Amino acid sequence: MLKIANKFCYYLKNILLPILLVATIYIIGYMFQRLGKDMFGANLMEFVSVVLPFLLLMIILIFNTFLKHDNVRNCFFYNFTSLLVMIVIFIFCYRALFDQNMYMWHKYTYKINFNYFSDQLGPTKIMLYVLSVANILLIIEGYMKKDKKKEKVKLNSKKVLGTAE
Amino acid sequence: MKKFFAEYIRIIAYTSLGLVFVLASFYLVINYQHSEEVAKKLYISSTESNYLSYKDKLAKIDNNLESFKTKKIDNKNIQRLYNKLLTCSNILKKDDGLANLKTNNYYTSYDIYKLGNNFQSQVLNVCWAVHLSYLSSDEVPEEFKEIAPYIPNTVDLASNQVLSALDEIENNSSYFYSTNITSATIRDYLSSDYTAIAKAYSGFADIVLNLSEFINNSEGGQDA
Repeated sequence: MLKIANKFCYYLKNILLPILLVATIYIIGYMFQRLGKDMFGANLMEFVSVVLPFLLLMIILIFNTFLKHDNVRNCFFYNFTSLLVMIVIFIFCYRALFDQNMYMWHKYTYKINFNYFSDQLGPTKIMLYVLSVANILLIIEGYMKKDKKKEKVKLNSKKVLGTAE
Repeated sequence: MKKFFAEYIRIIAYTSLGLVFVLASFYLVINYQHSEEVAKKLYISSTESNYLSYKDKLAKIDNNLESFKTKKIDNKNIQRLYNKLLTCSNILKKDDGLANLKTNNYYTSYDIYKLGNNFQSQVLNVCWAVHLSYLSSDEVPEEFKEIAPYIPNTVDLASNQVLSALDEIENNSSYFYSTNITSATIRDYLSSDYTAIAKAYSGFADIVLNLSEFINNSEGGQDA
C-alpha cells in the first residue's frame, strides 16, 4: 500500500512541477508587462530568481530519474512532502488566476491577482530550495550507503575465499 | 566514520523535509481558511436597519424639498442651497448607491467595495465637494452660520469610515483578512465593512436632511 502511495506521489509531483513552472512564468510574464519590466533584459536576474528554484528541482529530478537513486525514489516522506508543496504552489497559482473574491483580481485589467501571487513567491522559493537541498542530501546519503555495502561485499567475499583456501 | 556522516546527513535531510512539510501544511490550511473568508457573501434583507433608515431619510428629504418648492422664498442664498440639495438628493438616489440596493440578496466583497466607491466618487466628490462644501468655508452666508459648523465633522467621519472599509476590502488578498479564532467571535469583516459604508451613507443623508429641514423652516417663507 505504501509502495503504491509512494509511486503515486513520485509521479504526480513530477508531472506537476513543469506545469507549475509554466503557470508561474505565465503570471510573472504578465506581472512584468504591467510593471513595464523587461523580462529578458535589465530585469533578467529578477526573473531568474523566481524560476531558478523550479529549474534546480527539475534538474535534480532528471538526475534522479536517469541515475536511478532509489534512496530518493523510495523515500515516501520526501515524495509526499514534495507533492504537498506542489499542491500548495498549485493553489497559489489557481487563486492568483481565478479567485475573483479577492479585490486585487478586479483592480488590474489582466484578471490576475499579482498582489496575492507576489506575496506567495517567498514561501514558494523557500519550499523549493529546501526540497532541492533535501534531495541532494538524500543522494549523498545513498552514495555513502552504497560504498558501505560494497565494502561489506568485498569483506564477505574475502572471508569466503579465505575459508575455501 | 562514514556511517556516522551518513546518519547525520539523513537527519539533516529529514529535518529540513519536516520543516517544509510544516510550512506547506500551514499554507494549505491558511489558504483554505482565507478563501472561505473572502468567498463569504453578505445577505442583506429588506428589513436591514441601516438600509431602512437611509430610505426613510431620503423620503423625508424629498418631502421637505417638495414642501419648500411650494413656498415663495426671496432669499437667494436659501434658493441656491435648495438647488444644491435637490442635486444631492438625486445623487443619493442614484442606481449605484445604497438607495437602489436589491434587498433579500447576497453580496460579495467586491459588490460592497463598489458601494463604498460610489459613496466616494458620487456623494463625497460631487455632492459634498462640488455643491455643499461652501458651507464649511469662511464665506458661508450669514443664514447658515448656525448649522454650518457641525457639517465638516460629520463628513470627515463618514469619509474616514468608508476609507477604512475600502482599505480593508482592498487588502483582502492578504491573510490578515481571514477569520481567526478571536476575531470570528468579534467581527465579520464583510458585515462590518458594509455597516461602515451604510452608516456613512446614512450620516451624509442626515446632513442633507437637516439642511432640507432648515431651508423648509426658514423665515421669510410664504405658502404659495
